[in-house]
Amino acid sequence: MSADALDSWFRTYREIDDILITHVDLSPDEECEAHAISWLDEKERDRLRRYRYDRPRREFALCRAVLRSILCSRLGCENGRLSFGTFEHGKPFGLVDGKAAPVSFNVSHSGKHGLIALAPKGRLGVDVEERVNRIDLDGVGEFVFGPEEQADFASVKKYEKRHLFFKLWTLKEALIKALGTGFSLDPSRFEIPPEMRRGARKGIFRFPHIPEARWRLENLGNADFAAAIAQELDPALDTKGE
Amino acid sequence: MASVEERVGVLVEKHLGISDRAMLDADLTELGVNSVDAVNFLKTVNQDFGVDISPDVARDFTTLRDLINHLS
Repeated sequence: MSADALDSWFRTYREIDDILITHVDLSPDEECEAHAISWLDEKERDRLRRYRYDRPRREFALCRAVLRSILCSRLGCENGRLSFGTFEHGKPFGLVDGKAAPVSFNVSHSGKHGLIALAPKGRLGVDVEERVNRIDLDGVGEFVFGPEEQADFASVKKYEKRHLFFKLWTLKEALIKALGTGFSLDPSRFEIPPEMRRGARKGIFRFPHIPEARWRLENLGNADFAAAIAQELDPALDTKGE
Repeated sequence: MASVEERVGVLVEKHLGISDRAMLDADLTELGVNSVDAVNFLKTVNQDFGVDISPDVARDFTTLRDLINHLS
């Protein structure tokens, strides 16, 4: 695949210190998908064949091809040397020549938007969500928000609820994905820091059940989608910024 | 009275946009349902059936058939 072909559907979205965040355009495009599939290995093509619908097939192909391109560039390796393994709850990690690569990444997609976060180290989670109308915001909010979050959610005006819901959801999902446990961690059992619930774009977070670990948390949302990133901070660093 | 499978099938079509009933037996990872839609669907199932299935319990379901069996 040529660099020009790839450039047409991904771009750098943000750089936050050592984290590179790439946006992937997931609009249907047969040419892009064909290019993307040419970058995948046989195991990934098997996975593609198992998808029952076009949308998840396209999301996986386009995001995985861009992830491969970014990883090859970052690790200085050829695409054919790259493969992927998964941790216990399904979170993928990179392998070069079968050995774990010194890089951390995470991928998320929703509707026409994919985000890929990449950093040299530290567990990393990213989430993107289009602010769709089909979600029962109050009902799901009761399910996934903690008591203080529910109180904040109940206090905002009706027209602000969708933005707040998806902001809180993406921040929580980014943390859960960074931790790598999936929904075995009940999202209502931890709360987003109050200053972030009320407008701050970034903050430091600690899970109640593992207070020794600190996480950088940042709201990446824009007018088109809600998004957030979480990165485990090096415990050896000082605690400035808390 | 509609069977559990019929009731779940109606909710799947309405909330996940999946109308093909053969998909009730497909692996959930092959359907491409994202997490916010999945939790929204689970909340609807809980309301409709008067149950309290948590996301943690639902995580063990690999197909929608597993959910139907849990509800039956």
